[in-house]
Parts: sequence; C-alpha cells; structure tokens
Amino acid sequence: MNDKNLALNIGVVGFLALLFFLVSDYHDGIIARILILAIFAMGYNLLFGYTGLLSLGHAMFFATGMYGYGLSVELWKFSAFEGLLFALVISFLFSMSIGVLTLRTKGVAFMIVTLMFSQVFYLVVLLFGEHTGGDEGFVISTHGRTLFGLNFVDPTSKYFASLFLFAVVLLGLTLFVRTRTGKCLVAIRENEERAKMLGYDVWVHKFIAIIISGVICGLAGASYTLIFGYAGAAFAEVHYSILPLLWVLLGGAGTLIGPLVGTVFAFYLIDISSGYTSAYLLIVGLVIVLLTLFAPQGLAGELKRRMAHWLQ
Amino acid sequence: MLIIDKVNVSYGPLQVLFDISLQVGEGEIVCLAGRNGAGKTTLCKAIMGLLPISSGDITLDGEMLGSLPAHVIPKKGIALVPQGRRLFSELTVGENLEIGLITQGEEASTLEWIFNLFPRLEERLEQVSSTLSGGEQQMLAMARALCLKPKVLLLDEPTEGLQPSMVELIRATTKQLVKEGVSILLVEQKFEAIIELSNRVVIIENGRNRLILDKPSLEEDPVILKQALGV
Repeated sequence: MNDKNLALNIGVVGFLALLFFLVSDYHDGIIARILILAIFAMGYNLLFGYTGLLSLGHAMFFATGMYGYGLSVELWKFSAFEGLLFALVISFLFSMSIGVLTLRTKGVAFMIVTLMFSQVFYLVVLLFGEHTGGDEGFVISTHGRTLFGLNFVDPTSKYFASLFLFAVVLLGLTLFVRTRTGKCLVAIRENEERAKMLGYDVWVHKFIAIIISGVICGLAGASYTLIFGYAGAAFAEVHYSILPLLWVLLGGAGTLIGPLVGTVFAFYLIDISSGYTSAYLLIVGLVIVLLTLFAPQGLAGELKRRMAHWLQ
Repeated sequence: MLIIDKVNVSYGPLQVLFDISLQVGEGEIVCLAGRNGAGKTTLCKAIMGLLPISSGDITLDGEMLGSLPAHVIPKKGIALVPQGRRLFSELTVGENLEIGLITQGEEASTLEWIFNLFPRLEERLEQVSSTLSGGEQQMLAMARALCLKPKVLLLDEPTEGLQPSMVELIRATTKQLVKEGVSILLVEQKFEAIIELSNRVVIIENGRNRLILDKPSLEEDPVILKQALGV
C-alpha cells in the first residue's frame, strides 16, 4: 500500500484546476466535456479494467442517467438537485436489474447480452420519441441547468462543476480499489477459479462491480445533461458503448488515471488531426495501431509496467 | 479429519472418478499417487468445490462439504496449492499475499508465520510474481494458500519442475507444516518423495481406488509402490 496514487490523483486534479486559467475558452469547453466523459470511462474501467468483465452495453447506463435526469427535469419539473438524485436512484435500480440478468453469462456471451440490452434500450428511447425526443433529443431548460445557484451556461461553472464531479469520482475510486471489495475484484479479473479457491464469492463481487460501474456511468450521463443541457438518443447508440472501451484501452485498463489519459488522448488526437486533413480518421487509426503495437497496455498501463508498478 | 467417501465426479456425460474414498487424519501426510490422467487433480478440484460431485460425501471434522459453493470451502479450513502454481501473475508478491489474507482476518500474525516459513518472500514483496523463479513461485503459491490458515492443505505436485535445492526446501516446509498441525493431502508421483513424506499412500488408477499402503507396508515392500507408479 502506498499514498503515491492518492498524491498523483490530487496532483492531477490540482493541475486541471490550474489549466482553466492557462488555456483558451475553446479548450476549457473541450476539457469540461472530456472530464464528464472521463467519469463515464472510469465507471466502465471499474468493470472492465478492474473486474475483467468486457461489456459492450455501457451506453445504456450513461443514457439511463441522462434520461433519468432530463425527463424528470423537463417532464415532471423536478429541480436540478431532485433530478440528479432521481437519476442516481434509477441508475442504481437499472444496473441492479441488468446485473442480475447479465451475470448468468460469461465471456463472449456477457459481451453479446450487454450489447443486446443496450440496443433494446436505444430502441425504447426511439419508440417513446414523443417524450424522449428520439434522434433529435431535447434541450434542457434554464431551471434544469441551475444547481445551488450555479448556472451551467456559464463556462467557468461548467468547467469547475465538471472538475468537481471528476475529482469526487476519481478520489472515491482511489479509496474503493484499496478496500477488500476492490482487491477482490482484481483477484476475480486475474482468475475467477483462483479467487474462488481463496474464498471469494465471485458472483456477488461481480454484481457489486456492475452496480457501482452503472451508477458512476449514470452519474456521468446525468451530469452531462445538467452541465451541457442536452439529452439525445445518440448517447444510447452502440458507439457510445465502444468509446469508453477505446478510451480505457488507450489510457490503460485497470489504472485509475488511465480513463482520463485515454479520453484526453482520443479527443485531442481527433481535434488536432482534423485541423490538418479531412481524412483525419486515417491518422487516428494509424496512431491507435501504433499504440496497440508499442503500448498494448495503454499509456498509463505502459508507464505502470515500465517504471511505476505502484500505479493503481 | 478430512473424509472422502465414495465420491463420483463427471465432466458432463464423462465420468472420471468412481467411488473414490480416502481419509486424511490430523497431522498426517497422505499421498495421492497415480499416473497422469488418473484423476488426482480432479479429486483436488472436487474437494475444493470447483467441480460438482455427482454422488458420495466429503466431510471435514464431521461437516459435510460436498454441496457447499466453492467460495465457502476455504473458510471451512481447506486450501489448495494448485499444480503449476497458478499465481495472480500480474500482481506483486505482496498483492498476492494480501488477496489471500483478505478472507482470513488475522493478517499480522498470519504474515509473520508465513515469513518464518518462507523468509525469501519477505525480501521480494514488491516483485511481480511472474518474474520470480520457479521455486519462489511455488513458495508464494503455498504461502497464499497458507494465508487461509487451513486445517487441511492440498498440495498438487508441489515440486514438479523445481531444482533439487528447492525440492528439498518445499519438502522440509511440508514436514514443518505437519508439525504445526496442518494435515496434508499431497498429490505426488515421485517415488522418493512419497517414501520420505507420507504416512499413507492412496493410489488411484483410471479414477478408481487401486491400493492403499500405510507407512510400515511401504517401508517393508516399496516394490509394490514402484509397480503401481510404473517406475
């Protein structure tokens, strides 16, 4: 055990706070978005990177939070705070149900089942387009973008609210992976049979991981709607299940800081390369291939392997 | 006392153990011997609840274990050191031990006991377990199982592929554990090891009990054992 991880994560949060004053408004906006999506990736990482469960359906958890918040605020006129609580409760119940159903499977079957549930969720969003706005989605009105007197139309509020939420989740996970349950998840990821041999109830721990992962992704979805003022079916589509996997793989699965690193890297790779050519996806693809070849454990994962084994 | 009574195990439709019976008393080392594919590892997995038994009983100090889920059995006092070590290879020595200790409780005293048995592990706490030598990996595999403070330890071919000095160390530790009250079911194919360590040998062949030899019989006529092992 060491406190290097805690120090590193506090340092990262401090650096991000400072960054707001150093970069342009354009980058502040991008970073705020990255931070919320990094929360999504951290939730995904808990299940994939720490527990070893590869889900292809995490868009449904993100969208549960997003619609839980958006619909409660717009349809039922909840306040922003009530909407957030509602979204978290819905995310909790939804991930519990998905956990009970999907944990009857393993490996490839788990991937397929989570993908199927996610597609069902997406189709339900489209089916009830009258309320959900379907493909076009809907914009959150002013009362739903104001929390504790902060209006998230303001870029500063946007940035620091995103950073606050990111910091809470990052530090929460830093503490969680040190708990008995956190260590059990690592044992399960490494080898389920060996974990059972040491007295771990594998099913219960996977179930806990799905719930926590689902609630974190739901929080990300709800926060996105609160801070950026929009909910849409695009966030329930399959590519929003693939993106957190990509971010986690690029950054380093099973490391706390990896999801942020991967999300930043992916966002800025697209942002910068698209400034040079319209065929920027070729560059993105090439970089991902190179990374897969030379840093198969992701950026933070490579750092961990080469020089910082203490990285959690 | 661990009692295996007429245990039958199948892989799907294929039955691999047929009415296997044996006992491991307190402070005993019982060797489970037999050729490759005889069913030794399968029996260890069945005892640990990793394979379901189709009939028969497994009891530890009178408590039925046969129908318990796999994660409960270690808490009842049985631990397995699997064949080929099977460590959490990406994790350090310290992390492997930590994961072993979580379900048991008394961490400090257990660690002290383990480091007395395997002082080398204490020096290598920060080392990733896959980078340890074969002998050190075996020590760690045993240490991780001992984190559970078992009454009965199942050792599946613990000296396989090790250099002679390590073999000696593992055998000496096995004897030490018995002195400290741990009963051992040792899966072993090496004739010298069986003669040196065991109070009793249970030989299985094609998933069936073939022969049970006690210490005096072994010492009196080791040829029977040699023939049974095919050496």
